[in-house]
Amino acid sequence: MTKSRLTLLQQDHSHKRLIKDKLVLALVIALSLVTISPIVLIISKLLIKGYRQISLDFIIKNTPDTYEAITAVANGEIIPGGIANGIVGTLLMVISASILAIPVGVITGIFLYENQGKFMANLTRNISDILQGVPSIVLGLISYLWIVKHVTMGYSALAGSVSIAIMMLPMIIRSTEETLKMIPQTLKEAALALGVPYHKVILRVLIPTGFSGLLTGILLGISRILGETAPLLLTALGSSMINLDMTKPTSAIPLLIWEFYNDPNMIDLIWSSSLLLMIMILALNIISKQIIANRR
Amino acid sequence: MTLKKDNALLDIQSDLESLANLALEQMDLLKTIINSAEMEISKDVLKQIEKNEKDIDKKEVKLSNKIVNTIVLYQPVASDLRRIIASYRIILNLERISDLVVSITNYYKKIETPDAFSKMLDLINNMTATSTEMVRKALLSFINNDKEYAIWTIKNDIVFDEYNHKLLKKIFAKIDTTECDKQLLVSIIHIKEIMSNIERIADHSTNIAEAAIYSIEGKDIRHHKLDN
Amino acid sequence: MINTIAEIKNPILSIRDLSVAYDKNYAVKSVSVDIKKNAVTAIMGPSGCGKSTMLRALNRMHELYENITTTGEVLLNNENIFDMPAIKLRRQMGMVFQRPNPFPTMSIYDNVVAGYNLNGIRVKKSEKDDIVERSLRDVALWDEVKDSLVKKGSFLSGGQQQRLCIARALAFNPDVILLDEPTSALDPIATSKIEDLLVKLKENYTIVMVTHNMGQAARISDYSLFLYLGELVEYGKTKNMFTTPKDPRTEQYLTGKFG
Repeated sequence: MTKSRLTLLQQDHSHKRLIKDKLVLALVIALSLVTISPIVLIISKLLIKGYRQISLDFIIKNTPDTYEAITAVANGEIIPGGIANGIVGTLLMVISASILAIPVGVITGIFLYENQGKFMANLTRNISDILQGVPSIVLGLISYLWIVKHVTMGYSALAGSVSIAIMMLPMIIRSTEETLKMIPQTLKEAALALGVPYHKVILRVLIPTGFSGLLTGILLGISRILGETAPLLLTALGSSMINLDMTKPTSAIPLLIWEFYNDPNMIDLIWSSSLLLMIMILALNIISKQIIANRR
Repeated sequence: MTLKKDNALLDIQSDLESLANLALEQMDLLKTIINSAEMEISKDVLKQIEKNEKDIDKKEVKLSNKIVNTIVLYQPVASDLRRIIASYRIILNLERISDLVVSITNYYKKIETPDAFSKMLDLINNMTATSTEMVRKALLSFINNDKEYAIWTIKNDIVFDEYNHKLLKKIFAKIDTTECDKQLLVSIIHIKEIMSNIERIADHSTNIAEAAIYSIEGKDIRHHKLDN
Repeated sequence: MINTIAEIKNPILSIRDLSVAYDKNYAVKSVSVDIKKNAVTAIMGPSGCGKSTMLRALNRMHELYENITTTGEVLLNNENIFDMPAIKLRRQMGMVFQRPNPFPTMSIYDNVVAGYNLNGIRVKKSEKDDIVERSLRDVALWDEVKDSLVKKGSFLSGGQQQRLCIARALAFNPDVILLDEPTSALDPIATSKIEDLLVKLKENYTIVMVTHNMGQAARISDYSLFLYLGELVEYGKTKNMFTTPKDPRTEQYLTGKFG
């Protein structure tokens, strides 16, 4: 009598558990799909709407003006021209921003690592965190005040670079400090025991060892600023030609997307521009992962 | 962390104490034999002595084994090590003491001139009593970590040796026989001593051989008959 | 404190009243001892009793930390270590740590000569080759790695990595090698190989080794120091200390009354 009751209970249990398992699995799958759906939807929309526009011309030629666009649309043709000015402008500003932000960020990260618990370090870290939360348009304003008004006396690529450099900074600082913290203490000790002076220990042992971590932080920073628009509105302004002069206004891909959006004739170009931008970001991610994998 | 080691050491200590008690019992039994002033050894006493001897032999082998195991398992150092090595030395000597008691009873049975013996009874009595006391005190000094008793025993041994010497002379003074015979007796005694010593050398060689077999095969064949 | 240093003539290391304090807490209290040349000296004691602290004071590793103060005198070949430049000291006193720590971004070859490379000391390639071969031979690693010198050391086993770290210390041809529990992260076979290596190395170097493994100290050291609560309790030939320790605290430690 008791035996059969027990076996009955056992059977009931495992049944319930199986059902629960399946329910939870279904839930997890559903929520995952929900999470990735925006990206899938965005990329598919961009692809569908933008692929036609992408060609060699797209990358080489400058933006067309409104009249060319109207004509093309009226004729049912693809809008001529390209976003070469935007591509060059983005590259110019991203590279300049990197040149500004990477050394400052890495050195600050090292400073924070070296002075754990000290007042100055904690203060710096807190300010860096706050900086990360500052709205990008405010950073654009600041750069406007510093550079546009007082340095280049007008909108310029330099101002644009400075604004996005400030955006990159907290990320690089944070990842540098965290990477260095993760390096085992014994490595430092081994180098010191060989009589290596401390600054060389950092430069020639710790940084190379933490290279992939640092690189990840830098690339994260770059992929973040590739698509930043708001600060550039107040600093770089935009340009219809390719411009390599840092003291003059320049275009950038996100700026162009904004311009296309605002011009009813050029609106078709936003898809291809966005697609190109996404491709650049994707490529950057893949390349960085490769570099890190190769270092192992 | 040293619980097992401490228990093993305590175990060896208590085994040693029971072995020591047996050896002391042998000496006490010897005392009763000599005290009785009879040439006949009572059957009960003899039986007890033989039983004790077998017991001691068995215990000696067992305790040796325990000591080896403790050394290999717990690698004792410092005072633990010294104690265990000392225990090993002591049980060898205890076993020898019991052997000697048995040997004495054997010779006892063979004495055919009770008169000669009875004249020396007092002296032999004294010697037995003193040597028993020496063994007892030496054992106590180890068991109780008491240096005083150990020193007493060692100092007493010197006295004892002298005593032994003088005793022989006294024995001859008391015997009623010619000078010639006396000299012959002395010589025979000395010759017997030589033979005994040679026999002891042979014994030692046997001990060495038994140790070799232990080293080769791990078998302790002391007190066993050789099968092969 | 019981001390038999009078026996040691021309000690390679003379330590007098060495004290190390973390803020105001003394981890090493006024230790004085002579270390014999070409011998293995073991520093033993319960955990947290200042063994590693004392070892690291010998090559001035504590200078990195502001809150650690070191006082006393240490003479290496009759030169005060606190008066010489740190780089010179550490060329004469190499250190090997508990966890094998070859530099992960460098090849085996570069690891061995890391001391030269990282310090920017210029050495001809042929000399470097000699140093690498000599050091790796000294630690019995040459045959195992001579064909993979350019590979990074991560494929080596724990024991091999530790031997590589020893080779790295030997590259400078130091007088003294300091080892901080060098085998506690290794398996028994690797441990035994390193123990044999240390015994072999003492022909040409002086070995000072911290160990919490009494068996190891007994197996390979010639002299032993017993440190308890930062004080040097006893020092002498290992075989004497292990059979007849003079201080009751040593006796208690060896018989496991506290560990």
